[in-house]
Amino acid sequence: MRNPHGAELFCARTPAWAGRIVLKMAELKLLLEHAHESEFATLRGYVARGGYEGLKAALGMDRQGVIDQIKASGLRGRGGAGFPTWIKWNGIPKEKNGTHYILCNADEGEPGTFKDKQLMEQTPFELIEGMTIAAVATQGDVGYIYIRGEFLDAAKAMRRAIDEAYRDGYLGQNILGSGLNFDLHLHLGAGSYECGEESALMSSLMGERGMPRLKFPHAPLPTIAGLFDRPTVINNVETYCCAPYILKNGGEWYATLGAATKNSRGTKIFSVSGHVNRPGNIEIEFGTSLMELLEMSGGMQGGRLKACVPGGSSVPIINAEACEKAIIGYEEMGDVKTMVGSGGCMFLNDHTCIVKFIWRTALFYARESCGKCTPCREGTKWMLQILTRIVDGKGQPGDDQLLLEICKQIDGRSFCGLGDAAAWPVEAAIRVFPEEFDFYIKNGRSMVETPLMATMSPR
Amino acid sequence: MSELLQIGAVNERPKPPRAEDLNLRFSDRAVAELEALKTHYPNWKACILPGLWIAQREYGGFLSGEAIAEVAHRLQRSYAEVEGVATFYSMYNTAHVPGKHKIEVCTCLTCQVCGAYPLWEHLKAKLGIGHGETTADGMFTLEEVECLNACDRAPLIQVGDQYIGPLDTAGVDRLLDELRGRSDSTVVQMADVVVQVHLREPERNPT
Amino acid sequence: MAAVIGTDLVTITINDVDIQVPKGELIVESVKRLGLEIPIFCYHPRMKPVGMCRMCLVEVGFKQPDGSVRKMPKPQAGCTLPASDGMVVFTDTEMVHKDRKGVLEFLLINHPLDCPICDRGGECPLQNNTVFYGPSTSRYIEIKRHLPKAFPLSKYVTLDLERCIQCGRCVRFTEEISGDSQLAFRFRGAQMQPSTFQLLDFESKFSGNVIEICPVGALTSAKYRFRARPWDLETKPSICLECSNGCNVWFDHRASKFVRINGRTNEAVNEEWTCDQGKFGHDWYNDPRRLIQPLIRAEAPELTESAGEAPQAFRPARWADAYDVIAPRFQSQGSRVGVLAGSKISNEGYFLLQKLVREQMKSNNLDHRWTNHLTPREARLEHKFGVNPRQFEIAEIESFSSILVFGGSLADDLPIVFLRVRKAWFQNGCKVVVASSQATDVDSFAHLSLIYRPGSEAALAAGLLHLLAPQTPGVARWTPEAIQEATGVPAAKLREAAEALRSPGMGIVTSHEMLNKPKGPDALEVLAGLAHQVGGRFSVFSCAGNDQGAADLGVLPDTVPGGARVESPGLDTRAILGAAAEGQLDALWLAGCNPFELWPDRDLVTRALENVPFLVVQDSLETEAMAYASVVLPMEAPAEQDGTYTNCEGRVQRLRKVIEAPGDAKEAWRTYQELSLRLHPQAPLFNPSEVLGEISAQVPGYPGPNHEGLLGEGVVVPELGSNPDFSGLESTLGRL
Repeated sequence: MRNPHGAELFCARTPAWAGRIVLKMAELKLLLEHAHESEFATLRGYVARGGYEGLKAALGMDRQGVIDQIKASGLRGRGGAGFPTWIKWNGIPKEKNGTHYILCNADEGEPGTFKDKQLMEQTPFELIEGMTIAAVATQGDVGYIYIRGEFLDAAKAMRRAIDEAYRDGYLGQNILGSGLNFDLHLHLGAGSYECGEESALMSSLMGERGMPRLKFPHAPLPTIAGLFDRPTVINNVETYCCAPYILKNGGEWYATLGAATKNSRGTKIFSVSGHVNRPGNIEIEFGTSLMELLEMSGGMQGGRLKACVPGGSSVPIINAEACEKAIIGYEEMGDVKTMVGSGGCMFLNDHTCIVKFIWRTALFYARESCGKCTPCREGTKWMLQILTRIVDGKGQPGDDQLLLEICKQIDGRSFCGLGDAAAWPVEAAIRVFPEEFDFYIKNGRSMVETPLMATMSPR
Repeated sequence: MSELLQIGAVNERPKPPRAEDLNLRFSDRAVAELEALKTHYPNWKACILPGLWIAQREYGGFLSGEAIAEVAHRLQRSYAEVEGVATFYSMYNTAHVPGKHKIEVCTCLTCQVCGAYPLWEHLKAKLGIGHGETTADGMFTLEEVECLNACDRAPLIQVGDQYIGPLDTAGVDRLLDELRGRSDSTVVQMADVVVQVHLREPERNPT
Repeated sequence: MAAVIGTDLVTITINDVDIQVPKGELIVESVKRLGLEIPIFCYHPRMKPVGMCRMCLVEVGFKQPDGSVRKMPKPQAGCTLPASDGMVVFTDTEMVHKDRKGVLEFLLINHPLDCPICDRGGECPLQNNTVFYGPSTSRYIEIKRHLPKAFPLSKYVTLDLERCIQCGRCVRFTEEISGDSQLAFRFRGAQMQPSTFQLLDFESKFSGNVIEICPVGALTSAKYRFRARPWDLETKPSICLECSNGCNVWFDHRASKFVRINGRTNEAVNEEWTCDQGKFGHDWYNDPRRLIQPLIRAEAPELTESAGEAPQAFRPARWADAYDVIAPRFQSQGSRVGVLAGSKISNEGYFLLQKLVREQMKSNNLDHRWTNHLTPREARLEHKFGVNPRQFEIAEIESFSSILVFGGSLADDLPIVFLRVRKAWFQNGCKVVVASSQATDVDSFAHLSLIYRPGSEAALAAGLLHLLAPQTPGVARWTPEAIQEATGVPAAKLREAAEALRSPGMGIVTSHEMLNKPKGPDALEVLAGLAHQVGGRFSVFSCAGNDQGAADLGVLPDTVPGGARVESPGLDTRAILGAAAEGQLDALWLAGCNPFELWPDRDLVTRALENVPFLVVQDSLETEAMAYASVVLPMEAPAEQDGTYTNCEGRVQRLRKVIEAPGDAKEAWRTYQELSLRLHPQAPLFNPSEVLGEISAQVPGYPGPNHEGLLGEGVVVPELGSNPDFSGLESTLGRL
């Protein structure tokens, strides 16, 4: 029970990365370079491996200089939306008249994603340093890391690291003698996917129900009035973790990574899971192909590649044909009608029933919809009811068309992105695998007759 | 709902508890922890979530109405508001008293395609309970949960603060046996861990 | 609000029409300027926009330099979108219509088809929007949700969770307007539901408002339940007289029977809110104990026992007979008669009452006050210091930068003033300090609460004066430390309170409730002085019905209409009751008042009514006092007659007759007029407008019957004292 890698006593097979380093030819390890060395999660081990060079570099620059480095690096948010990070940092008022907050979104809830978990467990100081750099750039005073309540191993690792950083003067008053004051707190969620949405996360941190708040153009940007109505920088764990390396090596250097792509720079950690031989986090340079990623994960397990959800459950599903063409990059993935998302890459083999898979996706969104806006609250529920009916063999002719109509009524009409994210997978699945839906609705059973299919829903 | 209204019926509800009637049950340690947490945020309202975690621990894993009222009272918020927050989040046990161990089975996507439902069926049959139910001996509560985000270890179960996976049915049986042998409640233990990670080193050991 | 509405104008285009609107105005409001409508559910103009229901989606674009319009890819919520220059809004495109249909289809997924048994049917925004914008059929074939129906949330409010569309208006009302946060959403997603804590009693003092703002039949009135359909009701404007705030209400009736009260908009008074006292306090209109004919005490027992029935104390009579019995007992009796009045008589009634008493009865034994302190004329603020006791209107409270709420419980005494004070804090960040001898509802948002020992109110006021205006003569000894000794309020807290209040825009809100406190009058003097010294403003509001009108119109022993002094003042309430108890009065008239309820000394009231030889009880309802009456006169209720009423801020508002009075009940003013004619033939006043004309001629500031203000928000009677002189305050401070 107490094994940090999770109770091997009970495990059927050993987790791919547990306790060993798997080197892969095309991997480009930046954030995860030392991840498997337990020393790296200690302050001394981190500093010994080049840690805090980035912060020192940042402290040697003026604030705008730090932001310029981030700008030059072309770093884009790693949480899913891919918004340029420097714009967020640059949006913080330069004239300070009160507290500025540095907020880290560690509410990793996107099904299929587990990169932030590993980063916090194994490279906590990268995150602390990254947030401290953000504090330097934006005159931040207080930081919060909002970790989902289930991630207790990650939270414990972060707590150990933060305490250590406080002890050695890397957090708190007068950091490294530079005059910088930065406090960092942990705040744990309590079970809500919606809190991964940045404004819902702020609601939750402020002690409210985790419902999204009004956004630009309806309300000021969080950089002006975010957490506690104060200027707030909010980024994903992975985004912050990139900052030390950008500051250490220079934004220009970072921008050379992924230069083959249109507008995606640096490395990206993909959480590969599903029917692959070696599931786990893989850090690759933008521009790598999706098939290479599959290769690095040991290839398909138990069958041929049928479909892939490359960026977490919210992004549209693609078939094997599209996988062959897919190049990993924010714009490049758009060419095959999907997205990089948060990097939760699920490969599915040909024993998988797509209808049941989408039914489970719909169940997820129906359960996790916060209920604030009508389209998402009612639409996710309705879609689930229809899909449940189909999976139960009681589909009606026209159900697939009705689902598409409902998707249209949700997509772009909901208050926050969760509604869109609930509609896309359903819409994409019906578009990419229409024959499977047709068959299931007509015959009341799945087109895929495999043992796996039978286990994809409760009896 | 036997209280259906008739025309002219007197329909007065019981009153919520007055502040002076509350039976406050936070231990000294819990009060100290809550005080420490108040210094982390610019206002007390932000302490509602961690406050509820403290209450979940102090009240033996179940956020009863009294527990919610106590948190609201200590943070000077309205009862209804705190109850609204508590019932929003799935990890607060607000519906009924949970068992000593809550077995949370992820059946979401990757776990689904990696065989979570057979595990789920196995657990249901073995314990004789369904989603959200507790065994008669008060030992186990079974819950089907959404993605726990450790998909590389699918199929995955969370008990207390531990992720356990990949699991097969034999592993589940061994897990149940070990949990039966445990003296403490993993539900309470987990709430305690959550509270502890909120607190900085000096705050954890108040002297 | 999502954006601050400035004074600069921007040009936007709505459906191809260019229009100038204030920058930052919400589009949902801007379209109204063109007579268009965007359907809404969750949006409410008095609460922060949330954009939850998505009913108000519109297409939005921006004018490009080349004149083309670039549309945003997604529709935008009109209720949260602030207007900005060059914005182009489309409310009538195919996409918008489709989106509205979609949202309504979603909402109707769960909404039960129980409109035929829903109290909201016929006045339901969901019904209306569905008819205008919704789909004709539903594609939903699953089983609808089933949740508790008709759940009694409180004795006033019934909750039907199946009908709820989760718009959050009720929740936001309790958070933003009433401030009690009694309602919150529980659970999430499709299970989300508004509820009180554990579905326990909804204890708000303003709970009735959530019934009105609910856009469906989820929150309905327990009192109105199944009583009527909206289309069967007649709705007329009325004024609520259950307290002194003078809320504007809609008085709904059916076949001349009162059915329900709804809030009516008057921005100057109640905006659109009501309190529960008012909204649910009008049932007495239908009370079976309503008096419907004059009654005369049967003098000879054989008169009633002859028929073999139970002995009857009273025999029904015609009005003329009643006047015949009454007239000789009061005519020119001078100090041997007394008249006490209640608070629900119109201005016209009060005016004619005092005229009747002074001119025909030749008496000044006349009072309408029921407070412990019955301050004589020379001791009242306007006469003692020449200061206006009402220096601001209710709506002006919003403009204060700091507010001192002093004494009593504001939410109970002056509910609508309470809402304004809270609004000043909630919307404008005004700092509120509350001083009371007990915890009050203001505490929930007050910057500081000063809880003083009962009886030490004047000392606390002096302590604030000491800190805020130390130059005031005689205040030096009231140091914070002395105040701590005297009142129990810590010195540091008092200092902090003074700092919070110290601003040029300070307002002091207090009420006649202070006149029930041991040192209340002294406290009022000190507070008035404080406001004068620091340049703030001070108002002491009356608390009951039309008390302000009674005071203005001379229903007082020492003051005539308009405020002039009476040569030889008569007896005040306490003295009248005392004189009656001692047998020094021959006749007493209770005009719409029940002393058993109003006067704390029950024993004195009993002795007074027992010992007065002739007692007239004029009232709308049977009261305890009737047991002692010689003659009972039925009185019409306010909504049953034309009349004007003056609220606590001095606002004269007109109430037109809404329903017929039961039986032979008569307007108070007409009763006085008719009796007056009996006693002294003269040219009569035929209707309330003529009486008002006479009032406006005699009382400065009172509007004439044709004043156009009476058609709108009412007319505020201007200030009395204009030449303050607080030199007398030193002696007050000396004797505290």
